[in-house]
Amino acid sequence: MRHLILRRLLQALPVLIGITLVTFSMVHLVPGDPARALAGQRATPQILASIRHQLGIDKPLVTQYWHFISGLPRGQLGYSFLLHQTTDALVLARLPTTLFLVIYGVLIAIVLGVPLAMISAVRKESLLDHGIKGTLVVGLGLPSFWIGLLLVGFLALRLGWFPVGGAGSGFIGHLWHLFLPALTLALSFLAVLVRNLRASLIEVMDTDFVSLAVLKGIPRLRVYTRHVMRNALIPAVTIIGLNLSYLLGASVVVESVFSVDGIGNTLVNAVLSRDYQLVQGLALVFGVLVLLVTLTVDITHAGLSPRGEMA
Amino acid sequence: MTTAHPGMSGKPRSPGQPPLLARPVLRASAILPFLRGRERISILIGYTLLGLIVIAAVFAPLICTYSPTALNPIAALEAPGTAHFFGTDQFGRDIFARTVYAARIDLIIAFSLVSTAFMIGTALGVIAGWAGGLLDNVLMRIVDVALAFPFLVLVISIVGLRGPGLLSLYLAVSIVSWVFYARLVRSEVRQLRHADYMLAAKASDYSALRVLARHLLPNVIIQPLVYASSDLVYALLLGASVSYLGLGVQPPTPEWGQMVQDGSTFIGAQWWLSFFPGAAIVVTAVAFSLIGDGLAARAREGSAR
Amino acid sequence: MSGERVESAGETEQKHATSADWMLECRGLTKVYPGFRRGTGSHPPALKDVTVGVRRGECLGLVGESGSGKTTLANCLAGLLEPSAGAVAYLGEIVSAPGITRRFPRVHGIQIVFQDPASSLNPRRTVGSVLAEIIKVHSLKPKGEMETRVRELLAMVGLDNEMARRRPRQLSGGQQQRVAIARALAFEPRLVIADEIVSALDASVQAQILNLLADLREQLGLAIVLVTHDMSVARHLCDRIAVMRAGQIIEQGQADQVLLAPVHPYTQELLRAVPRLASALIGPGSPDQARG
Repeated sequence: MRHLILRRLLQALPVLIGITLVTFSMVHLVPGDPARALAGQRATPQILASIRHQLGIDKPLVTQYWHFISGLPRGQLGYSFLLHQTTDALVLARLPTTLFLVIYGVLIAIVLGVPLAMISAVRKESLLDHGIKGTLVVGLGLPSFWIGLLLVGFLALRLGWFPVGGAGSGFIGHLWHLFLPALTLALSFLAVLVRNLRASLIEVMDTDFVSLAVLKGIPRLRVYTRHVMRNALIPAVTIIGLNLSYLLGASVVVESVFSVDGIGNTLVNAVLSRDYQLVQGLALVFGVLVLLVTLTVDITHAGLSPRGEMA
Repeated sequence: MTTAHPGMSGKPRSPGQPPLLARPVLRASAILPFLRGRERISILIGYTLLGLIVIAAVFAPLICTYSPTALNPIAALEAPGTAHFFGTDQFGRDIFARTVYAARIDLIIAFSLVSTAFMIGTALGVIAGWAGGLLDNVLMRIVDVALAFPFLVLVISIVGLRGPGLLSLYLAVSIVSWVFYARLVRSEVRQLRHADYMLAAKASDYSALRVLARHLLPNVIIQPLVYASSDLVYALLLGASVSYLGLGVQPPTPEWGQMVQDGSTFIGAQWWLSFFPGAAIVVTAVAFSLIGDGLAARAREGSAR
Repeated sequence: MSGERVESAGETEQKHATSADWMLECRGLTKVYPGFRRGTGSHPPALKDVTVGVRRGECLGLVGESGSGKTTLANCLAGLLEPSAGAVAYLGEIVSAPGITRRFPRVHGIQIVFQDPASSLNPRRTVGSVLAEIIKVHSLKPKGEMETRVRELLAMVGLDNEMARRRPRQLSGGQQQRVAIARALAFEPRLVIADEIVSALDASVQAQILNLLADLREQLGLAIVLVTHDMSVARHLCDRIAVMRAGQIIEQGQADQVLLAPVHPYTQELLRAVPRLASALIGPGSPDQARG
């Protein structure tokens, strides 16, 4: 097991380096002169030189890269010129919100998705199943921003049940403010989840194990709730783990719709205001985040599988 | 050494019969499948829907009574009705016309994004899968790195660096999206290159180019084609999302995501500004999904037998 | 397999005759697959110092269990695999040896038919196009005669013209294998290597295909290398039999001699394990009747 973890970590290393390379080169691919962009048209050569020195872009690329990655372990991700804070301070402040949103959304997706998948799988080929499958086709095509906006319009503005935006403060505040965003996230992911989960469940149900239990006379309901349900959660978690990259991406849009102050919305604003260093730093954070989660999912999966799937 | 087989008596060919050596119909039969049952219905519905949307987009000037860009402040924020099917926006522009015209942009975006990714990804995937070795390794590392970022984050960042716009969107997506296809094609190539019919093609003394192009490629391309058909949905949503954030198609060109953004401030009372463009996205996505699912089912069927 | 026939007993071939006699032969053929297996080092040799030959018009049987190296040998003889040592010669000239196999043009006179008919045919191509491609690419027949030739080939293997328009999926295993044979025949070969061509087929269909092979051999004067794990199949068609085990030929000689009076204990074991084929296999052209 330790062998496995070590191997996976080693495999992740080149990817990590790649991530730093990609994010590093981002800023340097910007057309135009960043110094002039900051200083304006009427800046003298001296001012430009001094800004360049400040930014450190007057040094050779390799040195800049080294400076970049040596700062990373110390948490130096750059500086946001427009928000006047270091990137890592911003990340520390806002990442928890994003994580809360994503986890919240995932939970809602599970609560909604697992029963749907179960009904669909158990009553395979029935009218109900087809209805659910049809809804899934529509669900796959729902833009998250549209759904979010409609929810805001109806549940927040018209009915006033939920706040229109923001993340609120404190745990309860978060729960209430982030409900609509989390619901939006869940709905945008629901179709994929239910589809895959349904397929896994059908596979599980087809196994001899379950048929045997049914034959033995154990009441069907109990078989389903105990065996099938338990075996539904594992693939559900796997599907979510695999799609975490997608979920993080979707959360960016959702945060934007609801003006939630997470790293996603910060990224969008940074892009819109050409805050390049911030963009770079946030992209790096996203990349590392996905890498960490993928690693964890990989390792847990590999660790669980030798024990077999049946509870 | 060829001696006539004693029992040989070919059935006389009736006129009007296609020649024995008629070219096998490759793609056409996959795109217009005539399946039994459920798949047939969903594919037909999908194509019909898509057809309607395309026709509407192409013949937009004939369908719409108003221009998508004509400002008409007097008729601002009118609810959907007989004059304006989808209502008007804050500038008095007809939402219906804007939605229909926007179909052109969104459809083009979806198709061009997918086809670019498909072509680049398939080409690189074949090279990596066939050559193997260092080339393969390097490519796969690049794929891993690209996949390490959430796709949207990468696209937004690249768009941000170049400045918002349709071209930026196209470039940004093209830089990254090929990796899905490359990975898929590469694994197909690695699997199929050891198939017996590949060995048989070698035994039939065909040049490597012929083997690659006419024997490997047609088989390797099935999976990425199926993937592409479902990728259309994703490409459509991506283009719309990026435009919603203000980073994609810029006004005054109407685009569905951008229109939803425009209408977002009015979502409480004048819901129609954002509702119809979004609904258009859903309908188009459903069409793509149905077609994609049908193709996937057909491909599964094809390999199962 | 009792002794209904009188056989000139004891003509065991210990010595390998001169090159001039052989149509296709290999000497000292060794094949080691590259790469390492974790823990055990490099792979054990798939073929070890194999020397065997086929004469004009003769049918040689390569018999052995799975893993004995017979498919590797078949592929080496067909020029599809490069040997690690030794050489393969066709009509007295070397066509395959370590380091030079790839530089030699493929020998059209040698053709091979593979075991799994479904996978040896490109699923996306119709039967007709498979045959036509060969004729076209190698300019075996002028353009006008192509269709006739395809019909001819199909008829030779007992298939209807209609088959040309079908894809492998739509054919039965036996029909697919006939197509594979037709493909080999398109080159007008003088030797056909049949690698376990009936193993993937039903018992009743096996007999048909073997009879087809025997018929073709007689009509076209083909030499055949029949690779099989089933002694009774070898018995039906082969003049000479070579028994393989663990990459080596442990016994070879005239078919009847190997079958009736095997020397090696492994051969004896193989014979004991064989279920008897129905007598439907014995038809015109079998060794039993050909050589009184």
